[in-house]
Amino acid sequence: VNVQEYISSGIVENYVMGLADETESAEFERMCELYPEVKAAREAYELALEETAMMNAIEPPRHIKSKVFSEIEIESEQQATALQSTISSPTAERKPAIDFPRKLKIHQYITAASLLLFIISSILAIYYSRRSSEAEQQYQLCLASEKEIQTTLAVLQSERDDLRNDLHLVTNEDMVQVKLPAATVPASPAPESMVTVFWNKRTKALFLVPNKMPKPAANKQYQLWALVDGKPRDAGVFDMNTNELVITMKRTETADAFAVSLEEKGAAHTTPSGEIYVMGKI
Amino acid sequence: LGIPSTYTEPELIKTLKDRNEQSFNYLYNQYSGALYSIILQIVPDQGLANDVLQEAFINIWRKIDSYDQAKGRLFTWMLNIVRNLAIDTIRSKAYQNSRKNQELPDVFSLNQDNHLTHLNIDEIGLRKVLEKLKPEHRVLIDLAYFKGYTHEEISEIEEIPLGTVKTRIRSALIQLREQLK
Repeated sequence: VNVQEYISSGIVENYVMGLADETESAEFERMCELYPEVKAAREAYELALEETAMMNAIEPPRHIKSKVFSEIEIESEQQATALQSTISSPTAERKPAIDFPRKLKIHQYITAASLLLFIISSILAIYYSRRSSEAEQQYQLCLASEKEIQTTLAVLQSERDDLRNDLHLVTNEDMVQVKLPAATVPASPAPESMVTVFWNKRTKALFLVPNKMPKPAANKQYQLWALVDGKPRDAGVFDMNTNELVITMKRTETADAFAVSLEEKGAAHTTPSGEIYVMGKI
Repeated sequence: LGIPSTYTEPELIKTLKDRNEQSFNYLYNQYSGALYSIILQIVPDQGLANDVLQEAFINIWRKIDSYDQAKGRLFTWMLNIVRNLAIDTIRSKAYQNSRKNQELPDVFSLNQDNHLTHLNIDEIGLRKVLEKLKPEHRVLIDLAYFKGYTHEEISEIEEIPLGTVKTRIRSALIQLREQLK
C-alpha cells in the first residue's frame, strides 16, 4: 500500500466530513490504526476544519442555552432515579457490571415504549375530553329543555285545574244557572249579547260566563247586579280583558234576577248609572 | 475552585463522559457558535436552525458515551451530529411543505438591537470556500455535504455516472482543503 497515495486520494476529507460510505470508513479506520501518517493527516484536516468553523462562529440566541440545560438537568434527575431503582432491584446485581449496548437498547425500548404510550394517552385524552365536553354541552341542552318542558307542564296543569274547576261549577248540583239575554232588555245597546250567571245556592258563590259581550271601551267596565225585590245590589265588576271563561263574582246571599250594566271604570258603584245590557230572572 | 476555565481535549472528554455539567457548560460556550454557523449553512431558516442547535446539544449530552476518541476529534464528532440533524430537518416533509409556501433565498435574523440583519450564507464558513470551486464541483459538495444526498442519489439527480460523482467529490474535497490552508 502506498500510504501517501492513499492519504492524498481524498479519503481523509471524505471520512472527516462524513461523506465516506461504510466500507470506506471501516477501511480508513483500520488504516489509521496501522499507519500513524494516516492518523496524522486526519487530525491535521480535522484541526483545519475546526479552525475554519471557529473563525466563522455565529453566536446563537441566548435562550437556546437555557433550554438545553434545563433539558439535560431533567434527564440527569431521571437517570439518577432510574439508577437508584436499578441498584435496589435484586436482579440487577447478577447482571454483568458493564453491559452498555444492552442497557442502551433497553433504554431505547423504554424510551420508545413510553413515547408511544405518551402519544396514545395524549390522543385518548384529547378524544375523551372532546367527547366529554360534547356530552356536557348536550347535558346542559337537555337540562334547559327539561326545564322548559316543566314550565309548560305547570302552565298546562294550572289551565287544566282551572277548566276542571269551571266544569265543576257547571255540573255542581247546588248550582243555579241563569241566562241573561239582551232580549229581555228592550233598549240594550248590544241586542245580540248574552251572559250566563252561575249561583251556588248553598255556598252563595257567584260566577259569570260572558257568552257574548262587546268588549267595553278602555275607560268602561261591566257591573253585575243582583236584583232583590227590584232593588239592585252590587255583585262585582268585569272588563273582559282577561281570557277567563268563568269570572268569579261577589258572594251573593239572595237574588231574584241578575242584570249587567256598563259603568265608568273604577270601584264598583252602589247603584247602576250606565245602560243595562242584559238581564235574566232566576 | 475546582472549576477549570479551560480544558485540554482529553480532560474535556473525560469530564463529559462523567456527565459533568460544568464541562458541558464549557463545551457549549466554546463550540455552540461554530456549530450554529454550520447549521445556518444548511438550514437557512433561523428559527429552525435554533431548534437544530438545541436538539444537537441535547444529543451530544445523551450520546457522549458513544464518542470514540480513536476515530476522530470531539469537534468532528459533534460536527457530524449537527450536520445530520440539520440535513434531517431540511429533508423532512414538514420543511419541504413549508418551503413551497415561502421561498426565502437568504437568512434573516434579529440582531441584538432587534434590527433585521441580512445574513448571506454564502459568506460564511465552508460555503465561502465553496465559492472558489469549479461549478461542477461546487454543486456536488452542496448536494452531498449541505443537503445530505448519497452518491447514488446525486448520480441520479445530476445524471452523472456514480464513479464520476465519487471522483469529483474527492477532488472537490481536496481542493476545499487547499483553500482551508
